[in-house]
Amino acid sequence: MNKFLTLLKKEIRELLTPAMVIPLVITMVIFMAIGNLVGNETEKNLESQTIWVVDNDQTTASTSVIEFLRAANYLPEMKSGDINNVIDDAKQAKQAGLILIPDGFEKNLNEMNPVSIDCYTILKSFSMTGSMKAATMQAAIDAINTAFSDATITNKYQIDPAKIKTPVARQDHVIIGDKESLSDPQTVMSFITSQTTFIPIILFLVIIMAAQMLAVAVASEKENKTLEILLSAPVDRRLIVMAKMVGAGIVAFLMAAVYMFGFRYYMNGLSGGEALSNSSPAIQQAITDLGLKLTVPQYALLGLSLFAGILCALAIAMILGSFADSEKNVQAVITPLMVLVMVPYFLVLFLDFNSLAPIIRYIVMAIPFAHPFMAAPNLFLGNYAMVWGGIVYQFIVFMIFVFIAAKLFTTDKIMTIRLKIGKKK
Amino acid sequence: MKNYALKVVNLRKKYGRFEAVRGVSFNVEPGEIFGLIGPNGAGKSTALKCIATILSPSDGKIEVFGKDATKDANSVRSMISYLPEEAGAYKNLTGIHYLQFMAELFVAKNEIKACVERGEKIADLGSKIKNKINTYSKGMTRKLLLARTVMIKPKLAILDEPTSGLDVINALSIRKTVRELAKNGMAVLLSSHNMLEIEYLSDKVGILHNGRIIETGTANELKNKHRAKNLEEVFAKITE
Repeated sequence: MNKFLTLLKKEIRELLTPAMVIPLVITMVIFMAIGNLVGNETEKNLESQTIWVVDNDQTTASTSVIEFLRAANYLPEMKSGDINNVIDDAKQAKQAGLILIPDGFEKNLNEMNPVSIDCYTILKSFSMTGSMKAATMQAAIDAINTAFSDATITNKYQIDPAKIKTPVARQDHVIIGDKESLSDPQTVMSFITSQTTFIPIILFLVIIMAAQMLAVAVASEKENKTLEILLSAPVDRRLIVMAKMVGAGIVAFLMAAVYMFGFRYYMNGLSGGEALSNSSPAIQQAITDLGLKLTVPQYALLGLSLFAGILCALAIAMILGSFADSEKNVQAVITPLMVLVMVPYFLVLFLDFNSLAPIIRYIVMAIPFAHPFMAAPNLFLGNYAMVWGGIVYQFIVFMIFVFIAAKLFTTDKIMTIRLKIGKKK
Repeated sequence: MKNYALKVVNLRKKYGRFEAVRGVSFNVEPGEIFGLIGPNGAGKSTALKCIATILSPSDGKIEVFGKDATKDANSVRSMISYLPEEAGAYKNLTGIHYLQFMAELFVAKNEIKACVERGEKIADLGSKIKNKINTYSKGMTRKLLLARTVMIKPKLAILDEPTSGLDVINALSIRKTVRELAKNGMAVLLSSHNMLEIEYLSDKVGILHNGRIIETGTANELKNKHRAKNLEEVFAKITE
């Protein structure tokens, strides 16, 4: 045990270097800064938008337009004069756009003739926040149309406009497993996505980083011949294997935690704060009805599945790293592992796994990393057999690869593999 | 029966179809420095790796103080210490941390402190022992590695090209250390393609060529036998 701790301490010291920690911290700070910046910009865009209005009609109807805009949370600002001059002023004032109510607007409206309002959108950027500004004009016109049509219906027929505009109402029922809730599927999907998006990202990051670090650790020991010294020491070689795996695992977890902290800030910024407020009573009711909140035992199962996936990756990386002649070759030798992680990651992210052809499903399920990616959705759906089956399968795969890795290190294969693919002495 | 520090009998090692070592036999006595010389690719490093229990022999027998290196590798590992050719050290550790790490692996808990102090003295790096290894020159690293190899007081030190690539001053310092250690009873097996170095250091010499030992004896014996001025001439005459 003492020798294991000595080896583990050395592995962590070798991995946690300033050259590794400084870029990690810088990346996190950059993520957080971008997140904050984007978040502030998004918030600004979500605040009441100022819209310049040029009213060439000057009638009751045109005045109503301004009132309707105000009611829809816009801040109309009246302008007058030649439209070209107003556009120039708007550009100078960095306005997103302006509305021109033409002469004869009310007359045409009353006579039920086609009526139009000129909308000038000033595009200055093609970024996400830029597109939000562009959408402002469309939303403003939608608000005006709704208000006018509601007013016309109310005045002419003296009934609730909703009865004409949406005579058929929709009552959503969402069913998950044997549970049902009166909520809309989009809201439920958004909630599940907000709760589970990070799981595959964490897993993806940890697996890739741990595998890479471990493979580099093995390859560099071979390249620097420090491995030869270790192998000639009176130490059980299985301890060397375990120390490398545990060391890479610990450091990868640390790195993933730091990345996720920064990434969460960044994502919150992009979505303008929490994408979905859990405090909304309707959502809370749906979550309770559908059993969508993971319980402590469910989280434990999810953690176990993630842990088993990481163990598999470490065992495979240990073997692949043994094939590398030098650190430069590591990327090439761990490519098969990357592919094995990426395939289930993207499949689970973009496709409905259960709708895939059976043969493809079985192939994907044979990849050990597919199971932790599928664990969270399966827990929500109550497919415990799938989750447990995946965990057991992953542990079997881990045992097989650890056995192969230990075999490599306890024989001289660890040295001769390189000799076979590298240059002979 | 003589008690050898190292007894190698008909050692063979194949990499696939290529046979790097082809039936090598020699003995090393306690306190003796045995030098294996030969050109690059002669099989010196492969033979040393087999003796250091890193590679498994394809055939033959290796015994260290009577223990079989294949069947009882762990016992052999507790008696030997191996310095690979052009080996590096863990660059993010300091020199002292490196010695501490190695001492923890090789010696009992109550001997660690004394072992590290011995290593520090042999390395002779002064205050730079507390610097990170990535700041060391090649000579400093080699001195640290040699100190690591011998600080644990192995019964048999296996040194592969101990002065390879070093300047004269560092090479002299390492040779002096090896000589002193042998005087204190440590058996040393070293390899080099620098035949003059082996002539200066070794009590006994084995000339390795194409995976076979073609001559064994003291440097003087070999020079007299082949009427040569030095071991380089001996080697040239034998392989002509």
